Amino acid sequence: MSERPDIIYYYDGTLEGLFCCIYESYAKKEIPLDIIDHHRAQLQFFNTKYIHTVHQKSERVKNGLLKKAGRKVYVFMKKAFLTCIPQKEIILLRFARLSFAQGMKVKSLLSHPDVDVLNRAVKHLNRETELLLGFLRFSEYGGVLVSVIEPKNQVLPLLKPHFCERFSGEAFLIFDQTHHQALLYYKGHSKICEMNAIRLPQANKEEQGLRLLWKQFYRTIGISSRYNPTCRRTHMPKRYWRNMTEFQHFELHTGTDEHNEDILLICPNSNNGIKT
Amino acid sequence: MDIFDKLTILADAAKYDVACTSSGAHRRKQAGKLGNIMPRGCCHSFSADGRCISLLKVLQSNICAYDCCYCINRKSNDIPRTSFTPRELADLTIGFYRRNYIEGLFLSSAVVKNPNYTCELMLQTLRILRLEYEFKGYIHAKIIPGADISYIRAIGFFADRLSVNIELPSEQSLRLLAPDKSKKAILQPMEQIRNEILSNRQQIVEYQKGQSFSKAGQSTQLIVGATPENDYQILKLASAMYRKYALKRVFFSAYIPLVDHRNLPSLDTKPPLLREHRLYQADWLLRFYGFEAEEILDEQNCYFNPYLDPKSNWALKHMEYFPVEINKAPYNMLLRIPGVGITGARNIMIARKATKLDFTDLKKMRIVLKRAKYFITCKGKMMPGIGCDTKHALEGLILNQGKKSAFLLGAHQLSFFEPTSEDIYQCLSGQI
Ligand code: SF4
Repeated sequence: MSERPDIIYYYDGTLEGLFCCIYESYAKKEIPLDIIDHHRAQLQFFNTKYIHTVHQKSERVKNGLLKKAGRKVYVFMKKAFLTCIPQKEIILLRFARLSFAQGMKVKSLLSHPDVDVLNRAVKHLNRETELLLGFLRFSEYGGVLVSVIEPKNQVLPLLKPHFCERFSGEAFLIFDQTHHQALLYYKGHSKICEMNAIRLPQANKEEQGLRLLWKQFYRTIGISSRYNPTCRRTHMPKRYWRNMTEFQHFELHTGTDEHNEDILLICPNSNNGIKT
Repeated sequence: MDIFDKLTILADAAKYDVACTSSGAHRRKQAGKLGNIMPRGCCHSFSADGRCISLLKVLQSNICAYDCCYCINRKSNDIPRTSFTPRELADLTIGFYRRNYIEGLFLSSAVVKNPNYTCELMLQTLRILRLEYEFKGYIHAKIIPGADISYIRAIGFFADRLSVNIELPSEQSLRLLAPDKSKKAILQPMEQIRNEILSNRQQIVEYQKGQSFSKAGQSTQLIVGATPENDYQILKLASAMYRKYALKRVFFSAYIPLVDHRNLPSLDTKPPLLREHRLYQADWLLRFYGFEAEEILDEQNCYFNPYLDPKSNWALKHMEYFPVEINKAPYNMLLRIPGVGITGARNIMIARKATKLDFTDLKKMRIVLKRAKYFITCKGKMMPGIGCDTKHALEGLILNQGKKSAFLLGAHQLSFFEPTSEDIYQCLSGQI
């Protein structure tokens, strides 16, 4: 096998695509210098090669991994792919090669540099998911619950089962502003799709009232003689505050609800815009 | 009075109750119904004092007929009084829950008229939530000491966790400060809850059906620092409660003086946060690390060492067990090393199967070497330059955490800033 420090793979940004890069790497017996999502491609001094996503190839890699290293390792890779670490693709390629060579044992090689980096990244992803299960806030607009989040990692697939279960009788939308994706749920059906922006109407009276009640509850529950801002910040990093009702300022809206526009949610990459 | 003012008063009155976890139960969704429960619980926010907000913690009412002198709601205190109607409280809970503000409801109450009447009010709220709105989220209910068993049973079937607060760690203190309550009135419901949970579990196993009773068990709370009991007495009481009543949690609450009374510490007393912190650390050692109360404190050493966490304190007094070889030691010995937590110990167990570990490996596995290094060997060797003796370890640990804990918890807790190792020696040998 030759390390080829002069070639860069481009792929389509999907997990399937990455698996095809792994396939290519085995087929050509080479390890590329880097693997880059072609959407983020810049002018390169190196040779580049676009790896087409072919379902059969990615399936072969997936099945190989499952057979050789087991379900846990496969699920771990899927999660690692959602994280925000730089160069995750090339690290995952090396990790996949390590998994093929070492089998199940790969997860206990805690001090191997690639395993270590991925472990940390997945831990970060898990923690962010865990925090958002609590810190995410909905607002109700005409019967639909809407939430905006700004996570570092792509947490929507991991948030999905929890919220679909908890609010199974509701219609809701969670908009990931960082990655421009949205999770939609309505009557037992859910999907994650691309979404560029969201424009929300004025909240109605009931919604405003509940926000104020919650802000008041939050203010009241703190015990001033135990004031401990450091402790609060460690548990609840500041970057989440922006999207949390208790820290937001609302204009008190006194007019009637008539001016409320309908919310129109459009997913450019899917043909079913949901109108409520 | 409108709902906004009611919420302000009744949340304010409930905020000194510490138990706000939503853990210990698990309920999967039922299609179309609102809510589920995560077994690990979930924090939805953190208040300005750094505590987890998980549940809507309020009183049903603060119109109290009793006169416990440590409590702001006592009837002789001149404060605004109000109650939620069951409907108001149920609607508020649902409104908050749908917006993902909370995991559920923590319902407590002052004694309105008498214990049974109070329970009836709470029960109505729970009925609306569970039966009418089919709410499946978490509910923690406080049992009012002195209520009939039929009420306890009814509330227990709606709630996921029940609690009865002991509050004061001894009977004398109770008599002195809470004349309307008796030890019996508190312990009796705890016993009933335990029996009810046990028999309910059997029924469920036997018939494979039936509603479950207080699925996440019961808990209680002890106030620290209002009365003269020492740390050892409190810890012993906690460990006895775990055993006797099969409690899930004992919560400790540093006493915050709100009331001027001759039997209570004066109003300018600072809440003993460091004591509270040490009690929680010791509580973890009891519940997860296999320690006994007597190993942590005893008659001679009945207060915690202010400079050292209880585990380091124990280790320093038992240097005969150390150093421990990381590649060989059994799991429960790994747990006893200062700086090695549960995850750390598990990681070591996994990783050492693949290769023999050395200090750099440990660092990557999040072992706090700054503390652990005095107590361990890797492949038979201590870390270079480190000795395994009390003096060495003591000085190292103090530098590492003594100042920090005094600093973090507010230096006003301790009468000095920079402890010398002599101070700490004294603590260790129980002279303070
Ligand atoms: S019964 Fe409860 S609310 Fe009433 S005074 Fe005593 S502690 Fe306070």
